[in-house]
Amino acid sequence: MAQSSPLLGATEPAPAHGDAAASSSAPTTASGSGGGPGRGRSKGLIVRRMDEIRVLGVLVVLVVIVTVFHPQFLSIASIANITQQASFFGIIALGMVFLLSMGELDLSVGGNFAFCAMVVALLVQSGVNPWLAALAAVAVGGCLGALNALLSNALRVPIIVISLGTLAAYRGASLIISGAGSVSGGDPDDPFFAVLGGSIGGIPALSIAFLVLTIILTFVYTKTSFGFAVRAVGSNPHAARLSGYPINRIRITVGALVGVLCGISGILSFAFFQASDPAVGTGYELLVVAAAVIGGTTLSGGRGSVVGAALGALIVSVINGALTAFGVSANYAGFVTGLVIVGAVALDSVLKRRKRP
Amino acid sequence: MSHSPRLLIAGAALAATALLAGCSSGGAASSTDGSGGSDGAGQKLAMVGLYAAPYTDGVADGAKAAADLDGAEFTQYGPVTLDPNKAISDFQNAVAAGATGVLVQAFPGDLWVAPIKKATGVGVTVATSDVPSVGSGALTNVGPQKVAMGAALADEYIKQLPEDATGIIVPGICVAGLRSLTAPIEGFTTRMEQERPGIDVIEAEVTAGDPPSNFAAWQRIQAKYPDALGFVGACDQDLTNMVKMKQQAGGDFLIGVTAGGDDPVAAKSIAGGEMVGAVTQRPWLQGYVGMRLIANTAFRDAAQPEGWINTGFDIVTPDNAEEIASLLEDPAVAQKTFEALGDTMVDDADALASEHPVDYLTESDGIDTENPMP
Repeated sequence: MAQSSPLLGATEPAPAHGDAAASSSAPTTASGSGGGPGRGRSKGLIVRRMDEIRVLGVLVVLVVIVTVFHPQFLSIASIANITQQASFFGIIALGMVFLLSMGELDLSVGGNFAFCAMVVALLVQSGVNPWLAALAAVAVGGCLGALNALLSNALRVPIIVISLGTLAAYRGASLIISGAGSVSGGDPDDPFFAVLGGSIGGIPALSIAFLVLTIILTFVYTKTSFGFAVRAVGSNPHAARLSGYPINRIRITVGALVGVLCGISGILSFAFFQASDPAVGTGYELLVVAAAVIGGTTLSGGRGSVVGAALGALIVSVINGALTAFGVSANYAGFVTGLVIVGAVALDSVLKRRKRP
Repeated sequence: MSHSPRLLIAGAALAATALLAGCSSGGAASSTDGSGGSDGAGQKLAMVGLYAAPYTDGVADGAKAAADLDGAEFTQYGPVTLDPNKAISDFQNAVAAGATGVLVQAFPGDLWVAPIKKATGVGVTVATSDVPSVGSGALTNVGPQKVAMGAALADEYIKQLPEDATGIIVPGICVAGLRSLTAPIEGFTTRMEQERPGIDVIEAEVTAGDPPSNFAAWQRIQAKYPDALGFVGACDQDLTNMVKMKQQAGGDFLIGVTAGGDDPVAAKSIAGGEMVGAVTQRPWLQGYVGMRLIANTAFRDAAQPEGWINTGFDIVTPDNAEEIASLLEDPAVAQKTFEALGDTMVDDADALASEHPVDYLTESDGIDTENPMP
């Protein structure tokens, strides 16, 4: 199971290296053992997506096991809840895949999320059109994410070090601007709340947004030169620099992307709750990283899966929902989630050592 | 590829799920006691707490006692630490899992409006304990008068301060701006201004939520105000840390907490005499009254009382610390102490339920509101 090398793939046509880097076990070409070209392409696609398929399998099996004991777990209301709960931190996890693929980590996402949710709430409360307020909040989120990367570049320290400070600073800022209290406002009948906070055909708009963003960012990650550059930097920063990649600029762009996703998640949170509070998003740092790592993104960079992160978020949400369905104390949720993360990191490390010559 | 991390993670997750499935029926958080009636047989009632604490557990004990009366299954949910998103997720999951009634510590109230509305819209009965969510559809709120709690603690300080005393008293708050914490401090300040005009209760210093940081904060605050007549905390964790702080500093200043009295261990520590007093919010009574009212609506189609029902509080002093600690330690003692009062409150709920003031937590003229006694 040789790890794909995005950097080497830089000289290859984009589709081949793009797909190769999306999955740790993916071959770069579709080799059919029989049948026509169409069948070969299908098989190649399945092989390339085997890791995501396995994570999907885990998700399905988990749901089936819980449903056997508690049939209502598969009710539409239950599924809507689970996807909705996963969406809040799952959307941010999609961006974290890019950052982790660069070998970076942003711990300030929870604070950024809370700040953006508070910005849109305060703007709406003061009479600003909700859609404009949402745009402003997303822009603020992008700026905060980019600020982490800018400071990282300027001080020549990893983003994780910067975000150790900004995680408290961003949450503190949301306390300051809100006066340390909840903020609500806006007309509940406004299309902003009705559309973004409501459901479309019984499916929460949040979940639809999560799905759409997963598709878009999967394309960006696997099919564009930007996605390729992100993986190249994470795979071998030295070689990437020698190859002429503008690493600092890529880092700022990815930081901004994570921030924008914090902003989007923040405005969706405000649209659903029609209120915000400085305490929202507490602990999202853990959930976001958990979703990305469970989904197959490595902490050491160079490899990741946007679809995997989305499935990882759903798995975390299903575990929490299952604990509730079984009537088990919420204390176990943190314990189980923590075990899964530690297991993922440990296994990742073991597998990496095995690959070394 | 037999060694895929995801595959092995899958195994771990499935094993964990199977383990939890196996142990859930005997889990401490979920129970069914058929000792009472049967209107709620086969029905599920739940409580979602603010965070894991003796106070929350006390509310759950009372709620469980009420659920047992109807033979309903009761489960306690909630985040370990203050995490509104997790609390709301637990609430949504509990409703999806078939709970017909849920008692919620709805902090922050605004954030709970939409989720509670959605639940009540599908027929789930919801009431709030301690923190209300006005406009959510959770018609009933049970809890103490927060401002009065602070005023009653101030009365204990006043007993130890001469009429002509001058100086400052320094409050500390672990979550700056949190209404349910600032309200008791407001009550304390107002009462002190009325009774001891020479004493200035200055603006609250910010402490911290986790115990080590909280202790360090109180050390810092005491060092900053070495001549203060006293200090007053607003959070549960202040109690033991303020006692330690006073012991280390060795001063004769007064200390007390407008909360903290719901932890039996902490309540016992008041018996030592280092502290003027703390406040217990009668958690068992809150849970019992709240859940009985939910059950009446969910199982017997009774109209849900609309408004706030004052379940009162008690000041824990060195004189009654052991007695109060015993009822906090043992739900059976709490039941013996509060059940009759709780039943009366449930019977008279419609009359007792007062209209939600704009902000009942900080309604200054509510300081002298009657504190119902068992």
